[in-house]
Amino acid sequence: MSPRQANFSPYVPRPATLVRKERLSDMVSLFAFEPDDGRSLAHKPGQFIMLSMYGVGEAPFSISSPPRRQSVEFEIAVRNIGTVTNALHELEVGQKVGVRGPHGTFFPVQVFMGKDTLFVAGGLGYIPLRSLLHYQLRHRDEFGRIIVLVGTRNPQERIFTDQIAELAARSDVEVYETVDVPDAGWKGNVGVITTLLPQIRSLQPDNTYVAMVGPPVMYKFVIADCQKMGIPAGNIYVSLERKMKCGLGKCGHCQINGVSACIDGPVFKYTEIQTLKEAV
Amino acid sequence: MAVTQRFFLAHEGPGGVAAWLSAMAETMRVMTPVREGISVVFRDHSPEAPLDFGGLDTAGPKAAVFPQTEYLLRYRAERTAPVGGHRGVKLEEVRPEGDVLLFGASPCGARGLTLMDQVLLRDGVEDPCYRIWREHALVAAIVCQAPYSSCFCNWVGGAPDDARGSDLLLAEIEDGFVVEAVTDKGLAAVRERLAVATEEQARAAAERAEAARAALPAPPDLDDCPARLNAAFDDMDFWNEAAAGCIHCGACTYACPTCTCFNITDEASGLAGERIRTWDSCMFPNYTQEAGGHNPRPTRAHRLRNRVLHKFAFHPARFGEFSCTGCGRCIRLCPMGLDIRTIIRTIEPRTATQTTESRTGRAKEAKHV
Repeated sequence: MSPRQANFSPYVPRPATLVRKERLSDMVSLFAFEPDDGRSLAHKPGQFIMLSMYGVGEAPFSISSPPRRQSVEFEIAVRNIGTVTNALHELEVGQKVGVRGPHGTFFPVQVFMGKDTLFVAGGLGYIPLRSLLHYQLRHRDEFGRIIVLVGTRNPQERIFTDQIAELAARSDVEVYETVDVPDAGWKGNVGVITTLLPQIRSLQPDNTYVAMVGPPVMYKFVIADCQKMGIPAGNIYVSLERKMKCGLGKCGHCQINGVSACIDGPVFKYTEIQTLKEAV
Repeated sequence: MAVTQRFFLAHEGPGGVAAWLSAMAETMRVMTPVREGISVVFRDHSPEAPLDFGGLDTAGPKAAVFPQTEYLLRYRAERTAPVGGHRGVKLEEVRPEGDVLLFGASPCGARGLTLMDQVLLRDGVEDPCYRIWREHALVAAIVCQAPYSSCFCNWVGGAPDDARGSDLLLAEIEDGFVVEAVTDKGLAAVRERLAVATEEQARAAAERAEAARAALPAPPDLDDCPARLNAAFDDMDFWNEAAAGCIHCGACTYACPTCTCFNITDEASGLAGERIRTWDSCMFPNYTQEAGGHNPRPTRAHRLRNRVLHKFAFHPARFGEFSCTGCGRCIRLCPMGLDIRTIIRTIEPRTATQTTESRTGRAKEAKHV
């Protein structure tokens, strides 16, 4: 076998087995997989995989778990919204899927070290940010303040509620949560996620790095407010999600003008895309 | 590759086209342009079928190295409960096989291959299937004799005798073709089989090429085209107007010798199936449509703007040249008569007054998604 044949195609997935499944909300569940070859994905926070449901198709999903040395298990959290995700939600523990990746750029953990991190998680944006957040919690001493903003459309759609409650109870993590539309039982903040920004106590803008993922509409408002608070544009990192088919910068679907979200992103420093039309 | 040797391929007889193609067919698949209705398409060569070099190959040679439909892998599941989930799955990679001679391509189509290479071979990882198809393809292009009204290769650095992307470049003269070996692969295909062209034949070929070049009208200066397009990005009045006729059929992108966008889908039949790559088109509304409902390019104006800027602003920024060979296939095939030349030649950022005046037009047009 020639070297090329040995590793012929980046389109061929590795088999992985579903080892755990956990309901997070009506529409969203967490899925934990282990690659059958026993090799870790060796991903970095912010990267994504292409997940194959054979016979249905393939789709991109952010990795939600932090990089781990002691385990090959990785997690994704998925809303049941299309054909692939529908099949995924039907999957039973012990069954197989295909995995390609990890793909794409990641949050530069080294850059965040020693600095304060402001997480801005809109809706399902908490899922990819959770990888970076949990990495930082695991190496808590290496990072400054950890400030987590969580915004959800309504209380029913909140995900990872137990984990977020645990975070809120910690003295070394600052959690602010809001919903756009409250229900009768909601006691917390009401309003879009930007309403949380003024509540942060004595933020040091120059020492703060922002990691932001959320629905498309969220970015420009949060970025504008962060900049108003004095956070330099170069300290703001966003992850941009687009339709993807190949994950390799070939198929064209995820292009944002001259940029391919799958290989040039999904994680961008804001200054890289500041002038890129239609990015945020 | 500094190969400049020229050979002669006669129309008829022992050193002729039919004999050479038969010889080549002993070791590889030979595809030649055949007229089917109003189209000229590449089909497996049959000595009985008349060759058609008279017209521009409708879709160029792209499909020979980037098939419209291609298997990426086959799978077979072992026991399955819900759809998509398996207790085990066997995968089989599918690899392109066999050499192919593509005889009679247009130079603009062949040049498109070099622009496809930039995306599929040189940006990030290599596309393995395309790499094999490319290595196994021998491209013999024929110098154009006379331009169509839709031709504009000289706007984008091309020419009727552009050798880029070809292994062999043929120029038709009185009684045959003068064959220039452009690459070593091309040279190997003719060196032992064809006679060396006489000086007189080579001169006649050069004269023909010169005449073809002279027949093209002088090109406009497109040096500032990327800047003009970028400046007009937000002029939705312009883009709505330009895209007004578009019925998003995708003909422009399918026929384009540089378009590489593709889709990947699964085709299941019971427990087995294939993962298939098919050509896709950025002109289709669902091309960027996400499962959650968001569509970053919601209207045909957004989509046309993206196609034009991709070719004349974004690709040049990334790779240093226009992603267009000026072949005019998108112009010839557009059922609604859209002409990309009009856009790249005339687009200028509008003044604020002009934009305000036609705002009503925008509101009306925005409904046509």
